[in-house]
This record gives sequence, structure tokens and C-alpha cells, in this order.
Amino acid sequence: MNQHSILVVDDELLIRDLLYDFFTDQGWDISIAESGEKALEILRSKKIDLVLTDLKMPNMDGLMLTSEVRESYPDIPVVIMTGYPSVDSAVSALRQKVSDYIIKPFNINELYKVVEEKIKETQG
Amino acid sequence: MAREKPVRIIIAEPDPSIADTLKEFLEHIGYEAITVDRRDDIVRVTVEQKCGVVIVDHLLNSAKATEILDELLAVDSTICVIILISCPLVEYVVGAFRKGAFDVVIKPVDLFELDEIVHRAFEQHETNKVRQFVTANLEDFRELMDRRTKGLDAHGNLVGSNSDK
Repeated sequence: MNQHSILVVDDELLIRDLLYDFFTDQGWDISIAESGEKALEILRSKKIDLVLTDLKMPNMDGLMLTSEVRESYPDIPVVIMTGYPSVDSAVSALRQKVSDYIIKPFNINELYKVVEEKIKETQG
Repeated sequence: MAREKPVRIIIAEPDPSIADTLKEFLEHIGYEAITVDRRDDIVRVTVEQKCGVVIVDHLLNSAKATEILDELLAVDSTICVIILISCPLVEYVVGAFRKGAFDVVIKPVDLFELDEIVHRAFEQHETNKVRQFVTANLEDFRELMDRRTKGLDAHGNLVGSNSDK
């Protein structure tokens, strides 16, 4: 089993716990952050294959985090999750070349497929 | 600023007044714009006219823009397709990007935004062409590099050449 390393960023504890438990069960290496700022700290300290981030967060939102990741780690794919989807945020996110825009509530198995596929695409 | 050589762009828009406005604007900023109002002509005209960027309405003669997008990318994956939508739905926007649309623009079109998007689309098209060329010729490049490298001595000079001057 490939041990992919992903960073989950969400200000909601419930979502962080859910994703941590699910991906850990798949044998993946999961890092979690409750904010964009914390996520950037983690990115500076360890190798991450993909960032899975919530869109709406206080201070640094998912789009701002995506912009920082694109700037400093252009090869790391970013997948946005949101419970507040809008055309404007979808267009903004996809223009920033996020790998996907997932609407909450999501089917976790479908999310898993998306995340795995994006990592494989990046790693060739 | 005038471009050295006009680059061609297709406008596939069923409403003649919108098509004409877009054509006039794009030509004003230096592109050569070709309008197409028949769904069956889009791929043919794009290929014949060597257009790198296509602007297509989300619904043209009852054909979905995403179907046209599939056809265009199947014949030339370097083409950048910009889809115009009038009834913005998140699912549609996300679906269009997932299928490979370069961008989605909401009507009424903001011409300043369109200028910036078309500019980026042509840059991306050029990048796509280079990437496609390199990928297609990767084996040839590797072979050439191997041959050249084998022909060098320990000092980096071509074996048999008189490089000590």
C-alpha cells in the first residue's frame, strides 16, 4: 500500500477528525491543521503529497492558502472543500489551478478517489 | 500594444449581437477573431485556421459546450477553451473545469476580464504546444544526448576533435 502524505486543513474539528480517522485507516500519513497559518508551518517542516483544505476559514481562507501553496510549492496539488459553494469561489479556486472543488457534504469514498487520483497524476 | 502577428481566436456564440461585440472587441485589442454559429463547423474551422483559443457559449444549437470541448481537445489537446455561461451553477463550473475547460466566463461578459483571460489562454496554449512537442520527441532528445555524451572525452571535448587551441 502506498503511504501518501496529505495535509487536511479545516477549522471544524469534526471534519478534521473524520478525515484523519478515515485516511489513517487507509494507511496514509495524515497531518492536520486548524488554520491556513498552521498549514503553512507544516508544509515548511515535512513533505506533503496533497493539501485538502476547507474554503471558508477565519483569517487565511482556503483561497489564500492555495495562493501561498501555489507560490511556494507549485507541485503540490490542492483540493478545496466547501459547505458554502458559490460560482465566484469555484471560478476563483479553479483559476488558481486547484485540482478539484468538492462540495460538502461529500461522500468520503468519492473524496478518497479524487485525492488518490490527483496524487497519482502529480507523481506520474 | 499591437502584436507582431495577429493570433486567431474562434467565437462560437449563437447570439449574433454578442458574437459581433466580442469579435469587434477582440479585433480591437489585436486578435484575429472568427465567428462560428454552427455547432458542426467549430472543430473544422478551429483546425483549419490553426486557432489556439476558442470561446464557446455553453449552449450552441442545442449542443453543450462541454461536448464541443471534448471534441476540440480530442483533435488538439493544446487548444484552450473558454466557456461563456449565462445561468451560473457551481456544479456546471466545476464540471467544465474538470473536463479541461481553460476558463468559464459569466455573461454579461466583462470585456476587461475577457482580455486578461484570453491573454492567459494564449500563453497557456503556447506552453501546451511546447510541452506536447517535448513529450512527443523525448526519446529522440534522449538518444541525441546519449550519442553526444558518448562522443565526449573526460574533459568534455569531442573525441577526435582538435580543441586544444
